[in-house]
Amino acid sequence: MTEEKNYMEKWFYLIGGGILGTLARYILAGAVYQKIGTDFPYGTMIVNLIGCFLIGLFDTIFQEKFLFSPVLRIFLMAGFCGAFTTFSTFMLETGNLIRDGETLRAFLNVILSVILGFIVFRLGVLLGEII
Amino acid sequence: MKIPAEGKLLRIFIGEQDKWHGLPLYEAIVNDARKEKMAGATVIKGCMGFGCKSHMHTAKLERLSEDLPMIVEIVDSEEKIMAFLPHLDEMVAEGLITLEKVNVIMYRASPVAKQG
Repeated sequence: MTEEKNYMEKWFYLIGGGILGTLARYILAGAVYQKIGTDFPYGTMIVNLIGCFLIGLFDTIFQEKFLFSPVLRIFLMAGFCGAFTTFSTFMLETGNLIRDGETLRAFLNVILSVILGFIVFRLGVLLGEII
Repeated sequence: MKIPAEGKLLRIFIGEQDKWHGLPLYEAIVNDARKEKMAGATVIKGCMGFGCKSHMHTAKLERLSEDLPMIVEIVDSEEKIMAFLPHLDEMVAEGLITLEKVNVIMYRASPVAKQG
């Protein structure tokens, strides 16, 4: 297989996984709100929790069991899980830092993502109001 | 099968996404080495590295964890290693191949494994 063909295959799997992940998140979150109610962001939370479980499962199967081909990994992890919830990637990388004994960096990753995330969210709101 | 006390260690540095006729390249190299009756081959997966394009690959970060380094190591006599090199020249489109002298201390299978 040529390098160009490999390259195209990778994008095909990434986009395919992304489409399915986006649809799964949209449908699942909507169904959760229909079922449980809207007094708490249950839908987003359940999507995030499922995403964390799936990326942990897929990463272990790929890295330790060698059961996925590299393109299937791109389909499931970068494509599906990434589009389903970027929280899964955030958790995977935090988990990797903890596994490697880099507890301070793991802690900073969590704190900075949440706090800076909220600050730039507020900046976005302010900009939106000015416009 | 025997390896002379002074053998050669062949190292092939490739990526896990590299392929040969639809198979992962590392798998194709090991299959080919077995077909050529080489003394043995081992595949080692790297958790971080970069190659001739200087693209960083690391298992730690999801976005950069594609195409992690794979190393195939083959130890055998110089003659057999040299005979195997043309196969690699054909199969390895991108990567690094090194060759070094090694002292073989031991190469044996247990009697049970030999019978099996």
